[in-house]
Amino acid sequence: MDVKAIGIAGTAKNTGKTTTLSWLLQSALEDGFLPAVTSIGYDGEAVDNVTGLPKPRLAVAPGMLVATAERCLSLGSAQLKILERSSLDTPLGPVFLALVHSPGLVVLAGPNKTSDLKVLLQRIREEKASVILVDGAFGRLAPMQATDGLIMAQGAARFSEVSRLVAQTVALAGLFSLTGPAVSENAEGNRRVISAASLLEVGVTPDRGMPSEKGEDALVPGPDNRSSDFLVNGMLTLAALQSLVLQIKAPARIILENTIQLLLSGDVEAVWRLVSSLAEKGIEIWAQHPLPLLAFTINPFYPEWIEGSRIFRERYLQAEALEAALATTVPFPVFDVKRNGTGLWQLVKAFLLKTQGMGQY
Amino acid sequence: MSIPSMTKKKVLLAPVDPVHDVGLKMIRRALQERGHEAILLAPDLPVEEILREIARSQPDFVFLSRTLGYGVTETLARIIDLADFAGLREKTRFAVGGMAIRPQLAAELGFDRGFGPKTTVEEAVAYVEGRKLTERESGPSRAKRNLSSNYSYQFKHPVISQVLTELVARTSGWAAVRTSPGVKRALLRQKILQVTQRDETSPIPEPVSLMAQTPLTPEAPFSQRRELHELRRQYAQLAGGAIRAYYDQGDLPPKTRSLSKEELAFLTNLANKGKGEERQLHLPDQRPLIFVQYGTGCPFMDIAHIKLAEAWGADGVIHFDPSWGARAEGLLEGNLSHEEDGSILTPQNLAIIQSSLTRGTLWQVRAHRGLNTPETVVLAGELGADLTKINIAYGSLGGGTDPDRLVVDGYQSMKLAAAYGLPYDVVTNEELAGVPAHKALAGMLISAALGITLGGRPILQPLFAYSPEVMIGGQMDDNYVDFNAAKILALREIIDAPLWPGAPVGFLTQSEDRVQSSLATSLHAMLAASMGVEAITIASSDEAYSGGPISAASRVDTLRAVAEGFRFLGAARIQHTDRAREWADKMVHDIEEVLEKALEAGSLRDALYQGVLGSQEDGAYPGRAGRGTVREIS
Repeated sequence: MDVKAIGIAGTAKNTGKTTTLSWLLQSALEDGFLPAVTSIGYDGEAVDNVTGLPKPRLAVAPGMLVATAERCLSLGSAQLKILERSSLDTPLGPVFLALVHSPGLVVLAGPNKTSDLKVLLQRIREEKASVILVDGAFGRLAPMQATDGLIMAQGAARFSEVSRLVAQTVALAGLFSLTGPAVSENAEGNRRVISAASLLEVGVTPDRGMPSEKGEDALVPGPDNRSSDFLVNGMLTLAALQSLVLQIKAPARIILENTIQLLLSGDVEAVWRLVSSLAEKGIEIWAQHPLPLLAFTINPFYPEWIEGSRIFRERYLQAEALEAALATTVPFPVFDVKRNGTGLWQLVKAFLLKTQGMGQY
Repeated sequence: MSIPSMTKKKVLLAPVDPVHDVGLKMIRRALQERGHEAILLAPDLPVEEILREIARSQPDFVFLSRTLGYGVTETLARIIDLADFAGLREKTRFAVGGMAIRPQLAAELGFDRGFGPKTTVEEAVAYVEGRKLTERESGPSRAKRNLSSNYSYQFKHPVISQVLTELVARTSGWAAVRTSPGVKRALLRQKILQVTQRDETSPIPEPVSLMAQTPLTPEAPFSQRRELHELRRQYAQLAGGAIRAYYDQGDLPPKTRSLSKEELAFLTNLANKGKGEERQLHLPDQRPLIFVQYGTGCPFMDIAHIKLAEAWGADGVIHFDPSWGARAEGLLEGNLSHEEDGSILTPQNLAIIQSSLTRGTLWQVRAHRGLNTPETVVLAGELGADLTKINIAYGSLGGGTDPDRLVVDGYQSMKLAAAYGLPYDVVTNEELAGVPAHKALAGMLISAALGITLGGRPILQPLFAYSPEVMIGGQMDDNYVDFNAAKILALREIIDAPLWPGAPVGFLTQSEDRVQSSLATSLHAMLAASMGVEAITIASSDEAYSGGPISAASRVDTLRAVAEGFRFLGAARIQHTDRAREWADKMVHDIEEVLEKALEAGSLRDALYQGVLGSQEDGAYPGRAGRGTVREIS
């Protein structure tokens, strides 16, 4: 069985990644699934590393696999049986693969870069697990390339203004929807491959929003100017994308590696505005290996900085109104797992059954 | 010193911050001095530009520095994400440093390494060179230091040496043929612990109140159970009323209770928990070592205090038992909590404390003053303490124990300490009662000389104190330096032995004001450092005025203040005035005179009873506890 990894990414810190993970984990267990868990950040701690506010804890059950760094092994209350010390390193020591022996809490800090996460997921697939849950960190997305499906945790911690929050979520949803067929670099046609190295030469002056001259040179689509397919590999910045758009002639197609490449390129709303404007210019854009987005979760909590006392205070947006605002504008399912998350697990379960066959142990 | 070209590394340093790049500049200098290539980018470049530089220069390491605020973390996370996606993390290792950076946050942000506020340049260089820090670079090594190994214990003052030799001979001659219930209990306790240690599944006996009905452990052989039962029966017969009631009926003294099973499980878990980030109090080869006292009565608070002290750089911790423990014949057993100050001495309590200690922490279990002195040395020795505390003169004159009893018990305690290889300090706290320094030091020297003769390694503990003597005599009207320094100078003229000013230094100069108390403690510690002594004991900043258990914050106050004092002082020294030398000379002369009077009186016991080492006029009273309990060995 090819066990799938579900990533729980967030738009920012405190948007509800760990709460979502915890909900999925408990739902999976109750439904007879055996989840394995790890994190690309640091999760399960009692108090937030930045705000000092309480954090959701992470409870695990016997038989589950966890992958966490050496210095986290003794921090939880669950008894763990070490299976293996991996060669993957973190600021908190090497990552260990362990089996939960008795129920309790764990603190997770797993591999924090894409290549390391791929190695770990492959290793976990050799053990007994029916789904692998990968907790995110801050708004980090790159390592999530190694997962098979994504849940995006959105919350008031990103924007405490509902309209901003909705606008950003709409943009995110839009970018996740840009899917299209894979295009081989060697296929026939007027094709231009643009590498990360050349893209890096562009856009060093984002204030002006214009590419540098050097960048224009680097991106000129070729002497014949006849290319119509542009395959963009590696890191992309918004400025580089703007530069590219200015230089190519319609009709043309910009074919990206994957969705995350686009999400990382810059401010999501600005990227979405640019992408939305391409169709009328006769330029198509899509990601040829899209990472499936299964759903959004929404968290009304946000930490508010109190200048007088110099501490963060817990604040909340009105939960029902927030969920309703997103549900009506975003073309993906939206869940507030603290209010009702049943549907989220059903959705993940359906995904697992479709992609990996039977999941229960 | 430079490094071979093969191991030269390229390091890109980027301040992701408009102003804060001092740390990176310090690291750049150190890296360049070691022969590495270090490229420092301009501060506050856009994320894209930093990444372009990384892609262009292909460094082995990228060091980012940034002061954190909410939202800034997102910038750092984005740099890492873009680098990850661009494939730049495969050959380059990313580190982040800044005041708010902790390893946990570095992990969360996706970095390979995080450098927090206490990071040294050496740490950053060692990371680049892929090696561990040397001891000098890494600060305090947690290897235990021996306080007494560098001393010859030779007396340098011929007259004092001669008088002490005679006093020791007379005192030993008298004490060696006598015994007491305290001495007998110590030997029984040794056997009890040795019997129980034969059964590896339970190194420490169960509370005896359960023992009468239940076996030591279900697996323990019957013969062993019987042997233990018999030893405890004999022990109970030698114990005083309240302690005996415990062994006979399981009754605990007032304000004392056993921990429940749940509490004990929780406590064991707490003891085994690692400690947090370790702070540096002084460099590994710097003196003095810093000791703090614990003894809240509550085992949980004790362990919390110990872990806190360790984390803030203390070198050693001292167990304080309840004051009534010195006056009761016998020690209790079990995991016991005490409602008032002082943590009850039992094998079980000590075993848990021992298990909570970090490997390098020195642990002192004090035996010095009461009716259980020899037995406490046994507990200290059997349970792995590093140090104990024995002083016959103080215990008799300020500690409330009958001089005859403490001479016999002290003599045997010193023999036991020598057998266990336990160094012990010899305190002079009778000064706090009003005994002048020269008399207290004379009493300390007799105890120390006796200990040396018995093969022990005593550590002399003069007080750095605003004592009644100086309050009345005015020796500290101008400064706190000279009279304290005089004690050190005087002792150094008399003997080559380790010095450990106590106890705690500057305690009587503290007030309700935590800032004042912390500063006073730090200044006394700086004086101790200037005088080159081996160790000091420090109090918390609320120890004198807490009216209950001391608080964690106050504990940190003085540890931080002392660390800052040491940082300020470095190899510089506080200079005493000529008065210190004059007072030291007078002190040596007065000590000689006191010792000669002690010899005229007879031996140590006679000197104590007759007030030679501290009179009622001074504020010293020969104690009464244990009077009439000494027997000649037939």
